[in-house]
Amino acid sequence: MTTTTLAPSALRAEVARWSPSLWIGIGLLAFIVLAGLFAPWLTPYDPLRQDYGAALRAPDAAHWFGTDSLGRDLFTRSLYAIRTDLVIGFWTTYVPMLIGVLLGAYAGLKGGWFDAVLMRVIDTALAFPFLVLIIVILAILGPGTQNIYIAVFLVGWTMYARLARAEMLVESGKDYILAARTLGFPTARILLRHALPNVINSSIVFSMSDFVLNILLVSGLSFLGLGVPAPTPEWGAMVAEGKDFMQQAWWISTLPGLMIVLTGVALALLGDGLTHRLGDRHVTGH
Amino acid sequence: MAGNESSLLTVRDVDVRFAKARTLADIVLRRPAAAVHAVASASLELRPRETLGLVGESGSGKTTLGRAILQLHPVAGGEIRYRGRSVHDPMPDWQRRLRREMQMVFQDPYSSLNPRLTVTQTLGEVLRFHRIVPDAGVAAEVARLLDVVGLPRSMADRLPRAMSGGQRQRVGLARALAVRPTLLVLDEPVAALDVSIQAQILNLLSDLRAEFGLAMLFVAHDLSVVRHVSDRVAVMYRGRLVELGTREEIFLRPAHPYTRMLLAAVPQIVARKRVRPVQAATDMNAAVVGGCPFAPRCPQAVDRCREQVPATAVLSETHSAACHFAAT
Repeated sequence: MTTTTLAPSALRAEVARWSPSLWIGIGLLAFIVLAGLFAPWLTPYDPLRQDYGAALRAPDAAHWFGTDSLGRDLFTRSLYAIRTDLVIGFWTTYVPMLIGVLLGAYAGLKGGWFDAVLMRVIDTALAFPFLVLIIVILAILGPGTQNIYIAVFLVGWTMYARLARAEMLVESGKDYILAARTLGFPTARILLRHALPNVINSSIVFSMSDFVLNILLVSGLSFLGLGVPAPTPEWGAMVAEGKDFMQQAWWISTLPGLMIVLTGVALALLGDGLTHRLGDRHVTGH
Repeated sequence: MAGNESSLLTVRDVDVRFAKARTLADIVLRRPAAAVHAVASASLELRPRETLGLVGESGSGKTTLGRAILQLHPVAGGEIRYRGRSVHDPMPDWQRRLRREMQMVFQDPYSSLNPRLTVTQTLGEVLRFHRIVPDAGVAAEVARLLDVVGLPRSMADRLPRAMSGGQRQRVGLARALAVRPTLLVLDEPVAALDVSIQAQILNLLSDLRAEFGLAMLFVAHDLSVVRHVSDRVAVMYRGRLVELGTREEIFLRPAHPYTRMLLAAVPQIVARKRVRPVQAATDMNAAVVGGCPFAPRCPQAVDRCREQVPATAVLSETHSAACHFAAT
């Protein structure tokens, strides 16, 4: 559509511009995603299968991450939890991003009452700590994966709307937007085809750290008992289950916790690499 | 009332104001936000195939007036008519027609093109949107436009960042010409370019004017640029038109002291005589409430200038100036 199909040489040129942090970030994330996808082939155990005879085993050759108090293999559960956490992280990041960027960019382009009302709504939402707002909404709706989605969709778009509006205010004064208006293009075309591709970069970069924060949010909610319901493998819930056994079995909380850290590092590196890759357009662009 | 039959564009008593943000004091005192008068009762006319140069220093309102004509700024008073019909008439057919007949070329060739679209995409979008040619003919029309503005066809797949300022300005010109307009508003089209490139673009503009019979409103701060391309010249100072005349009248018999000041600032190879340097606008806010806006900077100002706004003196059928001393 807006970019021509990448010829092999163009692809090679693109790859040549990737920074080491982008490389490592993409590699780590690909590794994690593949581990989640191929979990059934990577481990002989069932993530839900309980085995009281093998409860609270320390990590060894049979159970790489040890077992929990119900005798479930923690390595298996950590792998299957990749699916849960990345899927929830993806939706809780990119649905709000879509809503927020569209609303914010439109407000920045048009201004007027829509802009004024939207900004006051955002100010109000951002006046509360994010987690507190989510917990309040979940307290009303009740716990569960579906309600986490609803709660985050209601609140998460505000940061993106603010970012996109700020970028749009800069962009809308540029002559190419005026030229599009002079040519009589409708607002939807100006917004989607001309403005959005030029204002979305900062939101994409921000979404990488937001992704990490959302995984931590889901883990935190599960830790508090408001998140993913019990038997489903989820890193935060696993950390919470392990807290009663910290003295005897350190691995129950620690190793799933390290999975969260690893995912966080991968996304942070990816975000850092994207900042440089997307940012250098502005430098060479002038 | 339809405008003069011979006129393509008629601008009558147009005011453009920019509202400042409403301050707390404004709200407490229940008064509206303060406004800056960017253009104050400006009137001018443009005939078919004619080029009118619009000059003035930065802040004089010349760009704003050009943008108001293309409805990029709302107008606070007065009227703008194209072929006798108001440009603010909201009929969709009329608006679509206006978009095809009036186009604009922007000053900054670095921000006037979408950085993510290639030349073909930029021009093709315009051609398809306005159905200038059938879809199958878009590629050929893009190639033709590139020829018209003097760009090699190999530029067609370039992104703006891979082009020079002069090349980008040619693309901006091609985009404006794509709809085959009758009237072109050029907002300082060469101010951001190197001097050698300026001459190329100015020559290109004269060629295009002759070839397509375009009427042009040429906005510039530099009289020497306007001299090459204009049939008539309008001089603006602080939102007001202070002098209007044919090219010869403005350059050989300037009647307003501000025009003379601008002319003195034009560099000359052979200095004819010592000229008074342009006085900077020292204190714009000191501008006289009841007098001539130019009085604080005018070398000829007398008491009368500070007390009475000068009426527009008609010097010939084509020449007028807003100065008490214009007729003498």
